Amino acid sequence: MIGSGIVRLIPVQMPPLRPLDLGQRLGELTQGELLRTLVGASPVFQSFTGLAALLGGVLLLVPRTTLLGSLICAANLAMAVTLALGYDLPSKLSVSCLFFLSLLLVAPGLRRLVDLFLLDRAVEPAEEPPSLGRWPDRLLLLLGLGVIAWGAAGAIPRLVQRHPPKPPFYGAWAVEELTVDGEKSADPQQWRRAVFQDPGALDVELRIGSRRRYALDQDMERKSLTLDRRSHFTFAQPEEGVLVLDGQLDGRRTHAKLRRVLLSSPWFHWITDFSRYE
Amino acid sequence: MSERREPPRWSLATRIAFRFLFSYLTLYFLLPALASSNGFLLERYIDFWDAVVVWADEAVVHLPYELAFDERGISSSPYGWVQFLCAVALACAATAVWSVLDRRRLHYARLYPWLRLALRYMLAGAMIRYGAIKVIPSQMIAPPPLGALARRIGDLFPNHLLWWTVGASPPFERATGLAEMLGGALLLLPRTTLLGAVISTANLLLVFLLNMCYDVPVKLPSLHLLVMAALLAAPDLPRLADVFLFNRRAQPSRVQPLFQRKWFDRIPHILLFLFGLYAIKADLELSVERHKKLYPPRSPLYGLWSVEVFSRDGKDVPLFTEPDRWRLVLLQAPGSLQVEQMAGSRKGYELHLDMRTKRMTLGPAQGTFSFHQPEKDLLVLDGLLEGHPIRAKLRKAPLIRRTT
Repeated sequence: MIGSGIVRLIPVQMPPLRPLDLGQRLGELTQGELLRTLVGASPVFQSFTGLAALLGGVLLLVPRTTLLGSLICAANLAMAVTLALGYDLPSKLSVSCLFFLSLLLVAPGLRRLVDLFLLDRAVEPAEEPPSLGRWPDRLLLLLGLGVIAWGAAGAIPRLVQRHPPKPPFYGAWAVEELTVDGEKSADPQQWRRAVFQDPGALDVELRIGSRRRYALDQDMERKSLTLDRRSHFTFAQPEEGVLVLDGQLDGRRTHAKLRRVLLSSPWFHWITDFSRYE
Repeated sequence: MSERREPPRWSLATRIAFRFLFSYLTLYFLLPALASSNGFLLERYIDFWDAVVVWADEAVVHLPYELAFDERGISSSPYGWVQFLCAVALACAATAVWSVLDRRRLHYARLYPWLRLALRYMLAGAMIRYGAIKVIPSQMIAPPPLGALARRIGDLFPNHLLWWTVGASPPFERATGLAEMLGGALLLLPRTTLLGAVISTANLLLVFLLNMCYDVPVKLPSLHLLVMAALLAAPDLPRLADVFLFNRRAQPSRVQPLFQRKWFDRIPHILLFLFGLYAIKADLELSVERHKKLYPPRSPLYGLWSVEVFSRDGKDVPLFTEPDRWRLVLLQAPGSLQVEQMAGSRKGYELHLDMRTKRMTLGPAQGTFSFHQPEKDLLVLDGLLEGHPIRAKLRKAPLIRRTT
């Protein structure tokens, strides 16, 4: 629990949702891929799930809080089993075994739990199990702390590696308007989406469905960008989430208005204007 | 309870907090719940809030949104937020007046069990309702409609990504519903209220976190339910600590009776229990009704089909070359077939499907195909469309393979 908790608390278990992944269709993912996509899309949520697992695991390290720890572990693992079965994840067997282990740990406290939660009677303290002495308990605690340190030491570099500095305009953009030589273009070889993800590259999905990668040079001060060293554009950002490009693409005068796609935009709102869902 | 013991003195802060909670919950939850069976009273209640909310928004809050009047009540809509702020303000005013008028009282030990009863009633009702619409999957459509499945992830609202992920696994949706209904059902009995409150708190904590992380527009309502569940569990925290942290003897919970006479005391609890049973039955029935509406009859070949191989006039058309090559075929309702072409445009046809002779006719008078399914998830079409011989091999998209 500690090991699996720490790699989610430091959210590296599920890869972050990257702009290039956003072009996939929902239905063409498998259930497992969809679940990963969902959790990867919110590192904060991933951290919370990690915190819950870690809490259960840490409480198991102290003899007195073993019952609470095993209950929290059982709740976490019941969820993990349901997810594994419901989303066809490969972890079905391993999480089921852990779930039964957690139930074994809960079992000696069952009588007290029934008194507390079902019958509302006085709950007697648990009899101390025959002690192994101090050292085994201390060893377990040290071992647990060691796993936390080891897990964190492994996860932090991965987190840094997975979140390289983001280039400007990082995200997926839908082409809202496109005019070539002053006329609205219906050419299937024209742009449908543009993705700024990897530094020095612009990935474009064409209307026909294929992808094209351009080498990208950006000059943020002069507000210009160059594709493949020959197509020059100036850019403007008239409002948040909108990017207007003006210039030459393959020798033709091109004007494009791009808008950030929903999942590439900041998305938290306390107040919801429900008309946005219409 | 046989022994009559003097209830302890409540501290000033506890008394004020109690007055606030009581006023707030009465104003915001209990009044509409009690008035809901009487149309006239409910309308007056709504008129009152409309007047207060419109005044407060113009005079004090100035939200940069339109107030939409169909999003009243406890809601994260602009109207809902102004109403919430007004409810807090009004409850504060009521608390101040009550605290002055009733300054000599040392405790609310007689009123407190009624507040708990009201909390159990409101929370159990909500948990059962939200559980029932998941047990009979009618909250998140499962599997999601093909129109949603054909969309790109980037074009989804984050809450819809969450919605359709849950919808992608009907057994998971049912399991979460069962967990919610269990929490609600346990709240119906006085003895198991603590367990029900703990299970509901765990459920609602997850719901609230999901709402925050995926921008689900019910943050304010789920926070209220979470606080209610926590309030119900809170008085038992010392007992929980005795059992789970200190391994000490824990006393049974000491609940003040609602009435002094034992039989009188039982009646409200029995009524709550009966209400709960009725709610379980009624909410499940409502969900079955919703379910019927949300899941109209499906095409026998239901699915989102990716076009793997497509040939026209005897020539294979590879991907990414011709804008009108088929990309996806959507078969949702029995009488229709939709094609999405490479360039993104959609074309709909009327469909007549004969499963016995394995023939489909696309109307009006567009073409005919014979089809066969060499494997369960594979569909091969062979025929004429708009005068061109067409042959296509379609594969069912992964997300609905396991759910259909």
